[in-house]
Amino acid sequence: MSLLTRRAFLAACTAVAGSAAGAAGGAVAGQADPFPWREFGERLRSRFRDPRRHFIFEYYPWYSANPYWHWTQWDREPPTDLAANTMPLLGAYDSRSRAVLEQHARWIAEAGVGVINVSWWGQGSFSDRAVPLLMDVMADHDIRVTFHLEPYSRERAANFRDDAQYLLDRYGARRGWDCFFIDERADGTQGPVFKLFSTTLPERRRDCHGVWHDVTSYVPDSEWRRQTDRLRDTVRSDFAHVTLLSNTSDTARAAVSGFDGIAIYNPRASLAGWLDHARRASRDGLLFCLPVNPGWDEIERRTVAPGSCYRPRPFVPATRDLVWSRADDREWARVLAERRTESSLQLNLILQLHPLFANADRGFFLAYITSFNEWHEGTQYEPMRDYADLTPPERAVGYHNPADGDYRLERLTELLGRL
Amino acid sequence: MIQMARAAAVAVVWLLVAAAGPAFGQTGDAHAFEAGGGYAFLGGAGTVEGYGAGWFVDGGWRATRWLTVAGEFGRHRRLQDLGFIDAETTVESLAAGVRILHRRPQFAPYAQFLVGAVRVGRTAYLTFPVDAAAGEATVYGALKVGGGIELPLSTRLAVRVGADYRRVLDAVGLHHRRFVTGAVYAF
Repeated sequence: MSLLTRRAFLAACTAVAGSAAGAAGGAVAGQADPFPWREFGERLRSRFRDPRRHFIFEYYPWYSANPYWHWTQWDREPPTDLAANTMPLLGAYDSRSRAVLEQHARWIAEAGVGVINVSWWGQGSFSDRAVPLLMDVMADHDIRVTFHLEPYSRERAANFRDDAQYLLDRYGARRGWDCFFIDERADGTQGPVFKLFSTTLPERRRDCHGVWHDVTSYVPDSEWRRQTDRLRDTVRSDFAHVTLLSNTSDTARAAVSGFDGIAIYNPRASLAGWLDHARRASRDGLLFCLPVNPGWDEIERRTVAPGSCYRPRPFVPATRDLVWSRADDREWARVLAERRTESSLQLNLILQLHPLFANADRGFFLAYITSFNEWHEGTQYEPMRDYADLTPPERAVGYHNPADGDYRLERLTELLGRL
Repeated sequence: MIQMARAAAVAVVWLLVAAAGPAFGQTGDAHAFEAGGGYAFLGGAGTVEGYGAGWFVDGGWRATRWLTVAGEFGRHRRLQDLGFIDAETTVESLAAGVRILHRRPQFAPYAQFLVGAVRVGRTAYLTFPVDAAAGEATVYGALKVGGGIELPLSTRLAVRVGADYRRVLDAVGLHHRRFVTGAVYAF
């Protein structure tokens, strides 16, 4: 009986909130919140010394303003025409600017997020060179830094142990561990976390023409297993554990490859699939991380070669066709992003803290937030410019900026504050 | 609705009258077929604690007065609210073996040994903040021993009450306990 009552109550509240938001174009004023935020907050606080350290912004230190880099992707021409569907509040900034990083750190800290996960592209890369200053600034704001190892070379699996050791030595030990993120589990044991992108790939793929191609970055699971074992052997004496997360939903291969868990990155994926990710991961003895996200609003290629398999990836959450020159549609996109943020955060709390699944059992909770500043894919929480503040040439680009460019970070901050 | 209930009651009475005759336990003819079914309650279903309500149907051929070759199918389901997530466990079993009866005028105690397979399905449901379901089912071998008593109502109809222990041969070994109550009809 209580089950039916609860279900009916939650369903009714959700339906009312949804229709009210749609009618009002956003704010759900006066609606009772059916989600027990405070209880989940208490559960986090009872398990972890500092819950801020369990919310992690995906962070991209790859922007350059001199010369422009990354802002130029897919034929964009900064500073007016950027590789983003919304104009950042800070414009086409440089990731190596202390002033920019200071502002980022303030925003991140104010949001109640205590860790950033830096997209890292190998030793000596642009992102690697950006790390020392980034860590200096983050340390000043009591924010920890962890690393997301990208598919930067065909040898990255063979170099994995050395690269991870390099990160631990250079950005951990050599800095006196001033802001290198060390995850603390509920039982008090500590260890670093590394997240890896594109580890579990098929050996071959068929394109839209039906032609099979070798996947150049494919690495056999057995090779990953060797490398993950090597890293564990290396750090065994220094840490109680090292947590290796693979960005995949293939739990069986992740387990065979020696990863400790899966960390889904893709904000386009339906939230309805998360329950199954949690179940499969738990079944296969793995941890799981799921992305708190506002959805997806990726730029499109302007030049597409004849016969290309490229197809623009649609706006997420799925909705009617949006006409971005219309203020109502831009505000509707805002409503959808706010709802998605709330739902994905709620679902993280439910699944990661539920005793039915492995994370709760093993005292693990990490909520990656996708993203702080992935502007190309439009997943950023970093503030955008208010639409009213766009210049006429910028408006001519067709940006999707809403009336209040700060809404995503404000909403996330408000939700985390409820915990 | 009332008419349907009346019709069902009349049918049951007719069945009992038609089956009336020498006591069930007194004859127990060899080479007869029998069919049964009823409610069953399962405990120790693994993911879900407690008893899951269900049903069973079975059939048999009396090789002798005391030995019946039997087959049985049963299904149990339990849904449990685990806080934001509802967990459903279904247990379906198909088994065959022998049932040994000691037929007496007023009752017939029996013991049975069955071998077969059990399909255990586990599904989790989420209704907030999104609707989602995730689960899987696995088939395992199973051994079942049990016993009980058949209480004859007529030459053809008896009430059966019994209990089983079922060992499900999964990786860790599930232990099922089952209580059954139903009716058996002889042809």
